[in-house]
Amino acid sequence: MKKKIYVIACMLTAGIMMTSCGNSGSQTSEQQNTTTVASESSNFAYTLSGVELKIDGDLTEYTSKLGEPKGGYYEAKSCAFDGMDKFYYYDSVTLQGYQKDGKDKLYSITLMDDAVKTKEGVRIGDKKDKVVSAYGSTYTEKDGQLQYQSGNTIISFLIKDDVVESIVYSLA
Amino acid sequence: MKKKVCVGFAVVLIPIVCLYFLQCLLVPKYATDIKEGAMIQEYYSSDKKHDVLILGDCEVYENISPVTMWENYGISCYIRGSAEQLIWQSYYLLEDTLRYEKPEVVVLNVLAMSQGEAKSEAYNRMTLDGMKWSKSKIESIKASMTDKEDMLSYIFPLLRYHSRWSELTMDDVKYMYKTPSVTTNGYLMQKGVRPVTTIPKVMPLPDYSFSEKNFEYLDKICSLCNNNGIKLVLMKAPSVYPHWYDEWDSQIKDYADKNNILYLNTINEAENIGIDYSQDTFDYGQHLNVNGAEKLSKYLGKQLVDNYGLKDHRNEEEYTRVWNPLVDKYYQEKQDE
Repeated sequence: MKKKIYVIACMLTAGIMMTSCGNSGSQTSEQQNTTTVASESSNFAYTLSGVELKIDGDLTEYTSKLGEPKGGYYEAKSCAFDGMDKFYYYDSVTLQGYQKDGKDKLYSITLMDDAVKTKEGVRIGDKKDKVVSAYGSTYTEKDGQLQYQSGNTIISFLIKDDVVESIVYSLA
Repeated sequence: MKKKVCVGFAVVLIPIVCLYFLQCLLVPKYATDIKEGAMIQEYYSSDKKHDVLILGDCEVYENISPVTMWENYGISCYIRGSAEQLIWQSYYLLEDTLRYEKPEVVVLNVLAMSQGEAKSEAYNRMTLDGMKWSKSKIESIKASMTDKEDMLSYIFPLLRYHSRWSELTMDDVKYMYKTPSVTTNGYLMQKGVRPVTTIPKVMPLPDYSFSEKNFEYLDKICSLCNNNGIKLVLMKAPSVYPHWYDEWDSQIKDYADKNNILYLNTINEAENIGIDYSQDTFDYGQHLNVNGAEKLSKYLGKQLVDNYGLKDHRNEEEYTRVWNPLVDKYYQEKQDE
C-alpha cells in the first residue's frame, strides 16, 4: 500500500514539474534581456572614414579600422548585470556598441552635427521634405520621429519645427 | 475509511513538500553573484527603527552609506533600493515599509522618472521576488509585469526557475533556506576605482516628458507621505552618466515647488560635496565607490538634519545596540580584500 502511495505521489510531482516545463523558457534571472535582433541584412549602412558600418556588425573590427576616437571612449555597465554599453566618439559621429554572445556588436550610429550626412544625402538642419524625398513616404511616425526600417536597421530622423534635429541608425 | 483518508492525505502532501523543497533549491540565491537580487528581502530582518527611508535604483544603494549618516549625525537610515527600481515599485515598497514602521523622512531618487516602463523580467524579479506577500506586492507585480510574465510564476517561482537544474551551484544548496546579508542597511559597498576619463556626449531625445504613469505614482508617493506625516525629499544622485537632462530637471523642480518638497540635485553640487571623479567612482562616473558614498552621505545627512531637525540617537542605547554591529560589519567589509 505504502509503495502505491509513493508511486502516485511521485507521478503527481513529476506531472506538475512537466506541466511547468512547458510554461516558460529557460532564461534565468541572471540573464539580462538582450535586444531582439532581426537577422536579415539591411540597405541602411553608414560610411565613416571609408569604413562601411552596418548595424549589428563587428564593432571590434570597425573600431580597429577607424582608429582611436578623437572624442574619447566611454563604457557604461548595466545595473547588476555584466552587460556593457560602449560609446566611441568619432568626429561628428558616435558609435554605440553592445555585447552579444560575448562579442562587441554595433548597436547604433548617431550623427552628432551637420558636418556629416547619410548616404542618401540628409543631414541635421535639413527640412522634413528632404528626408521624405530621399527615403520615401513609407515611414512610421513615433515621438516626433520619422522612422524607416530596412532589415535589422531603423533610421530615425527627429523632426522639430519641420527641421531634422537628430539622425540615428539603430538596431530594430 | 481511515486508511483511505491517510492515503489521500499522503498523495496530496508528499508532492507539495517535494515541490516546496525543489523551489527552495531552484530559485536564485543572489548570495555571491548579482547581490542586487537579495537586497529587498534583507529589510525584513532589520531592526525597524529608521528615521529615514531611501528609495530608488542603483543611484541609492551604491551611493549612500547609512553607517556614515549614523556616525556623523546619529541618523538611523535604511535604503530599500534595487536595480532599475521603477517609480511604481518605489511606491509599493513605501506602502510595504509602512506596514512595519513610519520613518520621519523618505528620500526618493528621481532617475527612475525617466524610465517609462519595465525594462526586463530580470530586473522586475530582483525587486519583486524579495517582497513579502501583501497587497502591495501583488499590485507592484501587476504594475510591473512585462508581456512575457505572468502572476502565477511570481506566486510559484518554481514555474519560472524549474529549468535552473543545469546551473545549480553549491550556493544553491548552502543558501537553500537562508541567504546571507549582502548589504549594510541596504548599502551595497563598492571599493574599486575607475576614474572618469571621458565625459559622455549628450544624445538628443525625441521626447523629454516624464510619463503620466510616473507622475501618477509620484503623486501617490507624495500623498502617502503627507497622509502619514512623513517629509518627502526628492534627490538626484551625482553622476556623469546617464545624462540628467535639463528638461528632466525642470520637471522635477516644478513638481517639488508645486508640492512644497525639498529637491536635492547633487549633480551640480558634486564639487561642494567633495566628489572627485578621478577617485570616488568605481565605474567611470555612473556610481560612487565607498569613498564617494561617504562624502555624499555626509552632505545628505546634513541636509536632513538642517531641514527637518532629525534627532541624534548616538547616545541612545536602543539604537547603539543595533548600530554598533552594523558599523563593525561595515568597516570589516571595507578592510577586506
